[in-house]
Amino acid sequence: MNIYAVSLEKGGVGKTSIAVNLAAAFMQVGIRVLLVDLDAQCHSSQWLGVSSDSLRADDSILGVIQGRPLGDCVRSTAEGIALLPAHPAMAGLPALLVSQPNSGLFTLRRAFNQAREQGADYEIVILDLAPARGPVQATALGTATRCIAPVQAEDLVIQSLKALVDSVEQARQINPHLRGLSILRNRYALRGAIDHAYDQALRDEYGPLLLQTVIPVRAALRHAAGVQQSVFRYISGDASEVRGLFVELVDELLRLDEVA
Amino acid sequence: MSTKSADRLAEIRARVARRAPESAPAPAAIGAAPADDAALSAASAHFLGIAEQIIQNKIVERIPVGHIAPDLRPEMRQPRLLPPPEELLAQGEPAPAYRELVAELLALGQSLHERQIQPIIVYPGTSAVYPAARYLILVGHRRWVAAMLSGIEALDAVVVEPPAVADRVRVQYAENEAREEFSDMERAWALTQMKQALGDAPWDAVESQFGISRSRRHELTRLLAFTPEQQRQIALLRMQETQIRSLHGALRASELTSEQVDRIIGRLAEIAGERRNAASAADDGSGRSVPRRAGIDGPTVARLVARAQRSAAESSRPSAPRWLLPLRDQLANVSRSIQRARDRVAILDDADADALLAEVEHLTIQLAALTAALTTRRE
Repeated sequence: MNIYAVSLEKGGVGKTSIAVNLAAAFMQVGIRVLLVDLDAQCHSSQWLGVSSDSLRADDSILGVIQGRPLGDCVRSTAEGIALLPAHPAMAGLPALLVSQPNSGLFTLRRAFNQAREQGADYEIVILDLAPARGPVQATALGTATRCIAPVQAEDLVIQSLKALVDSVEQARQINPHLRGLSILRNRYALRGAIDHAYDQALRDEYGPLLLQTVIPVRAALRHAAGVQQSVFRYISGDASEVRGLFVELVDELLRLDEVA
Repeated sequence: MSTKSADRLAEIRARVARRAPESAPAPAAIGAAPADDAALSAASAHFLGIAEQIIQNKIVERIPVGHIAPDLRPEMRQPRLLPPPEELLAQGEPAPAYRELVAELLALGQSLHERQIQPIIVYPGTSAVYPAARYLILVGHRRWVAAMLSGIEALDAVVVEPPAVADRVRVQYAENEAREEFSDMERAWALTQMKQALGDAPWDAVESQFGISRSRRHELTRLLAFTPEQQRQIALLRMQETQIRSLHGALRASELTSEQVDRIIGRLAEIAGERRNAASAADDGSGRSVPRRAGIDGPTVARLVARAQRSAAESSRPSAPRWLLPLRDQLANVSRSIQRARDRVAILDDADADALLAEVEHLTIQLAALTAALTTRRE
């Protein structure tokens, strides 16, 4: 099982957009994938048409941590993506995690192991994280096999990336399966000289960590969220190009992690 | 998807389908073997905040609200200005001075009724004021007051060891710092508490405990020039240091008496009340909760201060011309700036130093002429 944690402490970089569409792309190539919404804002869940109004708190990761079988909580979205949805009560997840053994660092890992023993056979798990450092990010990186950071060529994003590099290094001390950080240039548009300067800074400092696939700014991604569909279901002029890019991304990750 | 992309998708699908089962990483590869203690401690310190580190590995208990109380010892006071529940209500009705605060706390109580998202943090202890108490509050004073006002019977709580005074101040400060309604007056009190907790340590030790700059600490501690009652009023108005800079500046420069400051703060409270009433009248009924603010900006305070200064100057010397007070203010400012600049001229390059020297010489000539005129007038 490969577990991808989509994370960056800076908000608004497109974590949910990547998590949702990457999950859809894995499904397209015939890989059994589970999307886990770990953000109490429930954005991944909403994107795929699952409203928290229709959920109980223990339908989310809160229930799994408290011993509910993963299979009971996972639901299939309208387009068939397996989703462990979020619930606003997950605002209390950090406090719940730190009350667990080892401050919850291995709580998610235990939950997935237990799910596997109970028959869950996902090949890929994608964790969509909130833009914050804390116990939830810790438990996600404590179980992930790779961290994916969506970035733009902007100062604050690059600063936030430095913090994430530290966090991944810390997590690798407790999680030997964490292969490292991959940086995904998302909503990438180099318009002026300053954008090019930040792009160069990214290449200079993080060159080996940059994924080859680059997702540009495309209306299809924004509009697909509005109609609660992934780009693989949403029909528009530029959706086709975006679908192709997410397939490229899947291919790159599969090769990187030697899945296929 | 274009033909090329569709071909690519088909190629990847075929590759995925061809995978031999044993070529995939073994699912059991994600073992649960714990890392060593040092790595675990380092990871906890990196990822967890101060409050989270205190409650890590502790279980959440349901504790009756009556068994919990705030620690009222002076050195243990909470950084937030929060009167006890019995002071907030008078005969079951919100006391007029606290009407908005009570409304906020009742809304918080309603939210606690529905779901308590985060446990409060308490430690074993007793209270002379609340004899039934078995635990004293470290974090969660506001939720406790809300629970008391709303008749909630029990709260989720984590019980920790009694903290050292300095740890307590640091945890409470960290817990409140990000909250929008945490006022600069309350920050200044926390700084003083920390200084005392560290055995009257130098201010730089306090700054490092809170991770704030020297200039920010200066800004905050200037607020302590107000009398304790004035400080309480300012905290109740939740005015930030920048909003009342002109007021504490005039007080510290002895340009206003404490009685004049009392009157100005009283007037600010009236203005805040008028603005709150206007805001209530214009309420859109959406029920949206907005942080309580006095709605008074810096220029409003500066106008009241200037008016008080003018009034004081006119009553003492009715014949003083209008330009005199502003000129004296400017001279005092220039004098302070020059004093500060004396220690910094070494860093100037030659061009800047020459330009400054020319301006100072011109000012010196003007000052000498003014001095001569004033001296001649006296003779």
